[in-house]
Amino acid sequence: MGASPIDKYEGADVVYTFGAGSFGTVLFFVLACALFVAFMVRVVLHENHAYAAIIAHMPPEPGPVVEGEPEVAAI
Amino acid sequence: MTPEVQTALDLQSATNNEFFYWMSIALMIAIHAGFLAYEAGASRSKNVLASSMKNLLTFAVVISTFFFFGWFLYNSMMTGVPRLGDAAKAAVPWSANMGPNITDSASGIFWGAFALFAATTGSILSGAVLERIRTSAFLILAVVLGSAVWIIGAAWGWHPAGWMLTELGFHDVGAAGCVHLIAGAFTLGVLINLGPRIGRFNADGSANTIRPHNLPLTMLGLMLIFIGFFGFLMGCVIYSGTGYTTIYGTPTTLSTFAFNTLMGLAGGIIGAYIASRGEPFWTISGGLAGIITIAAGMDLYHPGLAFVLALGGGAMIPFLGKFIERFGIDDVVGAVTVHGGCGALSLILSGIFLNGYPNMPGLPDVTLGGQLIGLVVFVALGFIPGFAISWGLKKAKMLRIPAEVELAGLDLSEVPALPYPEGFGPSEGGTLNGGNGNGNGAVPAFKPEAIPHKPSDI
Repeated sequence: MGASPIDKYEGADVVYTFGAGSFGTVLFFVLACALFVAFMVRVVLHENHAYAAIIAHMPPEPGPVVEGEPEVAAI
Repeated sequence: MTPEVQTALDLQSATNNEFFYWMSIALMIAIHAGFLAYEAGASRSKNVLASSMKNLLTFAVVISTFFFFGWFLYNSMMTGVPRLGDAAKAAVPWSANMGPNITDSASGIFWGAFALFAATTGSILSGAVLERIRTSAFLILAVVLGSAVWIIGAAWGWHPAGWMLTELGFHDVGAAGCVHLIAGAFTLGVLINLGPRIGRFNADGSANTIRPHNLPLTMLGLMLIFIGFFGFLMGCVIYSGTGYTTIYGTPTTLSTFAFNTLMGLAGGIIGAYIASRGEPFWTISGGLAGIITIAAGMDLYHPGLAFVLALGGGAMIPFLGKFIERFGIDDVVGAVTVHGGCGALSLILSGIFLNGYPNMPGLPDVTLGGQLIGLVVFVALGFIPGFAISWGLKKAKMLRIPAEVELAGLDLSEVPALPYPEGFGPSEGGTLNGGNGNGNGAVPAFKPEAIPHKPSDI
């Protein structure tokens, strides 16, 4: 994958992958933003699941009961 | 090319010592280590990991969004409205300056220092809303505050071409207004909608104390913040390799900042000790209050004056904290008091004592009126979005955790880990057993059947 915007360092300025204003740079910027939004959605989903579990007296995660968790079967 | 853009470009191109700002960034990370310890200690033991995770995520989301759009806002909003000048074009994330560029040794290091300032504003909000805000809601608010609101304020009043400087002669060298006051006002807006922790206030409006589960950790956290403040203040000056100027271009020295930072720290601690009668939380917070109180004019105060002003700021915070409490505001770490109150006081005091001081040629002198206008602008800039966005989140039922979860503790539900070894159980909630939920390890284990089952009305 040829991501280099330069073929030598003499006279170069921008050396980052794909180069300034290139399609590749914009593409990965958009991807980074999309992943950030996906992370935020994941946080909300995790919260909803965890809150529902604790309200239902169920451990948020399967496995042995740890100290302080409700003593009910794992979900 | 406009004079503002030329000034901004000159400011950046004159910076020829990357290492200075590299160290500033590294030291400022100590602020976030400090906030993490501070807030973990201030939480009850049932929320200690959730509080710590919130701090960690603050760092991540504010820094990334500050790259996405925050730096662009700083470089495009100097005149008050967005303008796509050369500096703004250089700050878009796909520009030649926003990544490895062997001819540009300034952009990344300045961006990094400002990104750490931005994360600091998020951490200021973080402590106030402990133990009952949804992490997702908090992260949204931290992004708005850290990557949009404060940096717009900085473009207006903490930039050599900002309109508050060019029109009012505004002076806020240590960012008392644009960081602390804006963050404090934003936090107040959020707290009004968020409401207090369960058990914090009685039906008659009287307050209960919900004690920190680890006050020594909180005190250590503030000591780390003091270390980080030296990095913060490194970022408040421009180093050209031949000398230092303030962010407004006026000459200064690091010696100046050493005198007044340390005298402010000392004065604030002493003032808070006197006023709180030695209460540890307020006393250690007094150090922070002292530095913020003198921050706006710390390049020009005599250290004796700085000490006196800082002592006054430190002495003010216990009373201001109690005053805010009377309105049913549950500010867990006193963020509105320390950052908002002392930030405002700093602008007022600088207006009084620096009235008539010159700015760079062609710019208005510092005046009390200019400082007061700046104060009002920053309060509005912080409070309005903080209140409006948290109100929207509240209406969408996305702001606050369910009451059952609050009583059980966030560590049991949201964090798949336990903070302490076996034998040190999580604390119970403030209203389950009539106690205050200190969680000192002697409380009985969590009893889910004790939680009242009713739909959350929050």
